[in-house]
Amino acid sequence: MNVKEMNVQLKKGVLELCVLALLNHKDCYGFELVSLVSSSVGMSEGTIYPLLKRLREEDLLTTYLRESTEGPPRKYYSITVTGRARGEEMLLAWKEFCAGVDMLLGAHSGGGNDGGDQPGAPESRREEQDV
Amino acid sequence: MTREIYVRRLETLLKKLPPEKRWGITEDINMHFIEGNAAGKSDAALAEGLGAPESLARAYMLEFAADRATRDASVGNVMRMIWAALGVGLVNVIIALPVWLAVVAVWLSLLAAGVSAAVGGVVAAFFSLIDWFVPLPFVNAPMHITAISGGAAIASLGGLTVIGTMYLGKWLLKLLARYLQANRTIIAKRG
Repeated sequence: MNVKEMNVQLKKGVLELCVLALLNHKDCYGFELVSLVSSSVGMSEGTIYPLLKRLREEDLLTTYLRESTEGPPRKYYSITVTGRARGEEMLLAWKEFCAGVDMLLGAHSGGGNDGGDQPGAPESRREEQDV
Repeated sequence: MTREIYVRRLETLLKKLPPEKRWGITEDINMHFIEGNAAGKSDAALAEGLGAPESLARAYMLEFAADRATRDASVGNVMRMIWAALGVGLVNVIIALPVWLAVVAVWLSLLAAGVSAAVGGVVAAFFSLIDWFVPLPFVNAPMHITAISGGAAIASLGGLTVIGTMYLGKWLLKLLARYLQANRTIIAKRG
């Protein structure tokens, strides 16, 4: 698996978490939601709509139409109670995963990179040298 | 590519999906164009952002692939699952039900024996004790001490039986639960 492919797979995996987290804050209409997610995660809009459709079929999201002040009505996506629960579960799993990966990278990648991009890393490396 | 062309192309590519699902998808994409236009984006730019209709259709099909697989599997297995459930049900009615009824009957009689021994023992001891001091017409106990201690012994034996039966009952309930669980597992495995 090359770096580009790994990047795509990683993003796909967390896309659901991102969508649920975003909608946990507020309802968004389709274009707004997709633009936000695609610009911040760097995924094409075309990958997000299929996900939205699946989440709706799993009753994690619902939609409703609402008139807008600037033009035609918009289709808003809103998170359900089940969706909130799933989001919290995923967030927990994500945090655990990140902590695990950070620990592994901190413990075993010493010397390989300069560590400048991770504020926590140089300290832990220094501790290792002391021991 | 304009909205109409994009959406029509997508609809053709999703022919394999059930109509309601397909309609929902094209509506989502249609709304994306409409909302995007309102935000000042051209159809061409929006189409580019979404990617070619072919790749979007493929993404939708992929997203539903897992979903479809499980549904097909369950449809294919429904009859077998019903037969499995019926089979286990039949075994239950013919063999297991009488066995369980017999076990329950034995347990109930044990409990009844324990309760009557306890009550009888207490009554016997009590009236023998009273008769010792105030002779009662219906008590015929020449040796009061023996009668009292005998009654007490029977009462405690009965009490112990009741306690033991209760424990046995708890254990039987657990066994029954495990049996039902095993049934469910068998049904699930056959299905």
